Amino acid sequence: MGIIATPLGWIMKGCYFVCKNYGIALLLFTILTRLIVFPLNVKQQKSTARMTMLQPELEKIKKKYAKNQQKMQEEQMNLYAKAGVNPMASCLPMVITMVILFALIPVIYGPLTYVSNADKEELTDSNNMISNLYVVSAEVKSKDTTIEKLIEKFEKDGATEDEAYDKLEKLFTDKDKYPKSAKALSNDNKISNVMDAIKAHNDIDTFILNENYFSTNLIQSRPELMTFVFTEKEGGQYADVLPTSVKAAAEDFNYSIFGLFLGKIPTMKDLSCIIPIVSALLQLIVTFVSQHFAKKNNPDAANMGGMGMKIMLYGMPIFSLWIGFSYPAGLGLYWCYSSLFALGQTIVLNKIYTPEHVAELVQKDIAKQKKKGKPTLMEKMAEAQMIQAGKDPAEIRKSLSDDEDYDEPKKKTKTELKDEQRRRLNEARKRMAEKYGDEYDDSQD
Amino acid sequence: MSKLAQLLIRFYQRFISPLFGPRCKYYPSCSAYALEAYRKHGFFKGTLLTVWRLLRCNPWSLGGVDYVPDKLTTEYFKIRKK
Repeated sequence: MGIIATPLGWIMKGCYFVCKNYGIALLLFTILTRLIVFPLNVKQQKSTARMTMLQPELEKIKKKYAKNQQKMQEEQMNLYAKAGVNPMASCLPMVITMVILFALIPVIYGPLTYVSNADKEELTDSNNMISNLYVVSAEVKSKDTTIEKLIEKFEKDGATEDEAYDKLEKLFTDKDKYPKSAKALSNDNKISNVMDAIKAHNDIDTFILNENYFSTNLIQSRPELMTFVFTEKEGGQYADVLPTSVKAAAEDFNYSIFGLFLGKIPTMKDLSCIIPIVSALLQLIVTFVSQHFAKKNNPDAANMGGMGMKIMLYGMPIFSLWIGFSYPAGLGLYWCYSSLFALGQTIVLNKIYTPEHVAELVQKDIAKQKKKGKPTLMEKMAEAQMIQAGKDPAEIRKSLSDDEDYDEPKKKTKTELKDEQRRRLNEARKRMAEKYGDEYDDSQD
Repeated sequence: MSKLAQLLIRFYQRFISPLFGPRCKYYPSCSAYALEAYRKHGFFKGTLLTVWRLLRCNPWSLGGVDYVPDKLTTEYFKIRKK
């Protein structure tokens, strides 16, 4: 993920530099990434709209190969390839969208790492310090005491201030008395960072355990998001425990929109639940609108996918709801922007490429082709693909023009028959395996 | 590794794919192709074939019928234009 997250981080950095607010930078980022893939969508829209013209041919194929699903799909795909249109949206754009979404997770989780100018080494130190400090504080609290009380006790026993801190350090690295702290501190050779923080503020453990400021599920796994708490709460008096460049970056960084901190994972308890809910609603509207246009443009195809359409209509919003509640608000916000953009795009494209307009375009194409007097690029490509599939283009052309000879396959030799039987058997086994979720192994016969 | 990849693809086919509806330009679909590629050629070649197929499944391609080849040749990985 890092490979993809880093360039996304650069884009985010550029966006942030322009508007100095992470929430708005995210909007800019969405528009930018969407604009890059916009030509793909235009291309797709044209192709889908032209599909209506192939409808009669498709009907023919469906009737002819009604009993042979596989052959039917093959022939359908061949027809699309020949006509130079394809109603399917193709997989790559979806893969790219998903990859961007998931690569954005580390960028959202690590705003300082990816977007700010903080020193990377100091940032690592600061992150380790925060999570270690939390472990130590939590363990001190579990012994019904505080760091302040411990220090007082040492000083009562006659230790000077420096000696008291030395004793404290020994205590926290004692595997018997403080096993969790000792383990956490032994992973990191910079105990001094934690000790320095304690020296600066003897009461830092009560601050870091304040659940109104720090969310317990984030402080250990994503300490970077908690950096902002040091600079924002209690008048920023605890911020001096952070390394200088990290402190400066965190103070300068605007990681919120309308006062909502984007590093927070939304919960039902407060207003942050708005983001996942809005993202699900927007997703529902987008799917509904695009399905509405699909039905209008191509009623037959829409009827075909009855159940699938329903799953799509309700499945996607539920998916976005889940994403919204399990990742920081920033990711949900990105989803909202993304849906909003998709909605606008769907409406605009469908207004431009109405069936009438497409019919005009096709007329123009045909006129052009006649002028040239040679096959279009589309046709050439289709032919190339057929050659690739191991078929003779001349034969294909013939079979497409008069392929009435399909009905009875030619007589086969014994070995061919055997091969075919084995293939069918394998396919049946595969189907069964798929149905029951078993592993299927080709080598078993 | 190959088994793990297959498991993930099966998970995708069962739970994620229905969310988006049919969208592949090719027959067999990209996920079915990937599954077959991993079965036939193992992890590394399977991944190579899958990536190549996903790249080909873009808005400029025409789709069509494209089965997993029995033998990998450099010919298969060339961009065909004419």
